[in-house]
Amino acid sequence: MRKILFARGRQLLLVILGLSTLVFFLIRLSGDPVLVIAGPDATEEQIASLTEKFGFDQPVYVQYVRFLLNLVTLDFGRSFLTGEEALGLVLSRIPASSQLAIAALSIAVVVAIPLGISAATHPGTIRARFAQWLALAGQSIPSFVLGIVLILVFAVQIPLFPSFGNEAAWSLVLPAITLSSFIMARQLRLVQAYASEEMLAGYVRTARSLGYGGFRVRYRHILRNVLVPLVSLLGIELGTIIGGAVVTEAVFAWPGLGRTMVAAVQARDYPVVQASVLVIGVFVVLINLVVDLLYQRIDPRLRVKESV
Amino acid sequence: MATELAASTATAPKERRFVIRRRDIGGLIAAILTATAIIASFTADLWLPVDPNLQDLLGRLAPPFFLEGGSTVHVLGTDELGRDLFARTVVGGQVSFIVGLTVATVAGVIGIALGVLAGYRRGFMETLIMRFVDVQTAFPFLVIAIAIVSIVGASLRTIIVTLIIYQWVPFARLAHAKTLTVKQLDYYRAAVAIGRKDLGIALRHVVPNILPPLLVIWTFIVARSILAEAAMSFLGLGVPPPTPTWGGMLSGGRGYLDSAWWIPIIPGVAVTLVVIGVNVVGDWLSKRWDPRASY
Repeated sequence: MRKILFARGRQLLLVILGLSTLVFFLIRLSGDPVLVIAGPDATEEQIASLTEKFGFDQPVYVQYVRFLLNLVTLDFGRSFLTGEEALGLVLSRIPASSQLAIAALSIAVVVAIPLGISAATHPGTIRARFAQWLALAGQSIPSFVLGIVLILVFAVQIPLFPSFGNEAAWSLVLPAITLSSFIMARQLRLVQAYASEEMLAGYVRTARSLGYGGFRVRYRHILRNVLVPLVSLLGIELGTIIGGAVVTEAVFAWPGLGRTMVAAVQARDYPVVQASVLVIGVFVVLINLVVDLLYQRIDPRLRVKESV
Repeated sequence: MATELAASTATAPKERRFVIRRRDIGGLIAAILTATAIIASFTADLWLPVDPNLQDLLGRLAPPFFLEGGSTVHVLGTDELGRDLFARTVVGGQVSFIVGLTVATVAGVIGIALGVLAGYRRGFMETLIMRFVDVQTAFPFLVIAIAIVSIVGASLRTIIVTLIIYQWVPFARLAHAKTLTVKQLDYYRAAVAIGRKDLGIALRHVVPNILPPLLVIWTFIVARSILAEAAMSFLGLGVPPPTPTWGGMLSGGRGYLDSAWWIPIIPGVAVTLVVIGVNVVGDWLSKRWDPRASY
């Protein structure tokens, strides 16, 4: 436990330092940001005063040191566009994003686990075929295509749900389904594959011979053994999920972190870009920490190994 | 030398010939259709009757032939500028296929080289390479790719390079694991025992024997790169207009969902079908070669 926390803490520091340095130098390499802030009609004096104001007249290493000092105090500067504090702006978008992510993951798990297990226990049936087709479709349909099809069918043709924004509770439905499709497909495949293998294991036969019913065998015995790869899939596909969230938020104009970042990127609003990249990086490390801790809860063997 | 060769062919197992079984049919059809789509897209100049960039403002928003008011002049209708959607969809595939095939191939060569090197040499080299793999796996690299592309400027080259940096990892991980397995096997030890050079062993004995599962990964990476490119084009960070791309067409047609829904849906269907095709081929290959490697 303590070892994991320590390792992940060190990783967190590395991620913050690495990511911010990368973004810092990329921005400086890509030309003069002041020209972007000032706009095409700016006069010489305006450019000069802005250059001085943002400190771009200093040598790069001075700028970098100042940038690092600001980083320690979590000061990313203000948005070039709105003048808001960049970090505050980014943090204020986290609730909307987490809402979407949690809803999507819940949908994925609720569909993938029962369907995957029952496909594995009934090989060759329509159910198993359906699971395979659903997995293939979910893995192949890009989130922006699915999102637009859902909007077309359930918001334009049959106006059941709003097509954008997050004013009402049911506006979460379409974006959550969109975001869940890819991870649901991956989980479905994985549950089906592992559960089919577990079906052959000795403990299943033992449980059956002791007279336990199918439900108990499936959800008490098989599921427990499938959970470990399922959780590690979450860690592996985290990048894809976050990428999918960025696209989904753009499709549905969902006021989350991803949309803020894309908008900032298009407007070259560098403080906001920096702050969002960093916040996402920190999130990834934290979620990986949760995955590590979950492993230990799920699989007692891992707990023993570490204490030895 | 000649007798050696004769002896080896005499004992070679016969059943390794390519036999088409019933369960191969689906995969073969998918492979043929995907290949046809790729060829059709790249030879579009030769057979397309209309110019994909020709605007016709009087004939804009024309529906496809199967809808009321559609005609066979524009089989799949026209977009908001009156450009032929079928032609644009066919040509739009070019960017997707160039990105998918180039990224998967170059990333594959780099990833396999580094993975084999790590598994072969062990020690410091292995630690260094596999550490890199770990760090990249844990990262939402697509997010960083978006940031990089936006800062450096969107172009076909930037997208390809960024995606290569992202996609070499799965190749390296698998090549590393498989190399470690091969090193336990007798034919590897025999090659060492007769004094073959390292590079020769790696190229003649290790790489050919680990290639099948890597080819399976290659197909999945082609699919994923096509998806990634389409997503970036959709976000406005892809190959800049007027080059038609599926993601760009989709994003441009979003505003017409209530009046001309086919504008965004047709390129969306195109990218979905292609990715399904590539994924089916990958599934088929993985079952054929290695029943346990379901990626």
